[in-house]
Amino acid sequence: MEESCGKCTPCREGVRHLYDILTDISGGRGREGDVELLESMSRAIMDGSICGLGQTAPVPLLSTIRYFRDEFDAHIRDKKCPAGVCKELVTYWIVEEKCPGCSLCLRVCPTDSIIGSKKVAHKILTENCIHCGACEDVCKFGAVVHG
Amino acid sequence: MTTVSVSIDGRQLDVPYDARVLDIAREQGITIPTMCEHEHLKPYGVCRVCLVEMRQGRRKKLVPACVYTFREPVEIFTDSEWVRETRKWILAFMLARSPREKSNSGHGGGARRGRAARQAQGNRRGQP
Ligand code: FES
Repeated sequence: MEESCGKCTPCREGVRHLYDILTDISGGRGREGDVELLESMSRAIMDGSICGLGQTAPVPLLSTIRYFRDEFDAHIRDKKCPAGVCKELVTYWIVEEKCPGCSLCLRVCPTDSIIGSKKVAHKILTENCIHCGACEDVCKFGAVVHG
Repeated sequence: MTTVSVSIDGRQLDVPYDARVLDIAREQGITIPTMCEHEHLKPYGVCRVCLVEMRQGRRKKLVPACVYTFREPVEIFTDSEWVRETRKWILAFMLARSPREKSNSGHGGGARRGRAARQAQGNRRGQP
């Protein structure tokens, strides 16, 4: 997207649209029909662009659609990211059995969304959780998981 | 003067070598929409609104009518399904930038632009 020189319309405008729609999908704001929208837009961009940039920019997108169509559907329909990659779509929780209550995650949480006291298993309040993953990174016991 | 025998939308013509598709089409009364083309400017070929389908044997390609010139015997289709579909998207991309598209006002970023484009495309349905 940043590489487009901006000379011709399909590459300059179109690739940005593709990006916006993809961002929506990975943020759980995808809608039914978005995949088809991406495909037909991609076609027009590839056929209408002057140079190789616009002619090939949508290619990786089209191959991900071809081989990971079910992932797209999961994001759009179930608002789920099966691979646990899209930050906005995952939830974090603490496995009680593994948590010794060290309070490390509690202190590192930027939104104070983790409650609990020392030596007692902690809990993540999902309403305020911003899915930053800081708790998971800091936990020495592998008690924080996401999915 | 060398001429090339070509066809535009099924009409067989002998046109001067290096004649512009757009000019020949206009002579023939065939309308091809244009945007960045202007009589006082050098053809630039960037808006891609004037794309037409060029076929040569089994090879086919979309070419801008405002810069593409006849040098070989080719067939031109100014209104094929392929041309229409691509042109519609290009116009939609432009319309999505227009001030009337609220989604582009900066609020909420441009995240809705793709949909604006789709909407713009929908609104144009049925138009040439
Ligand atoms: S009129 Fe703009 S590309 Fe031909």
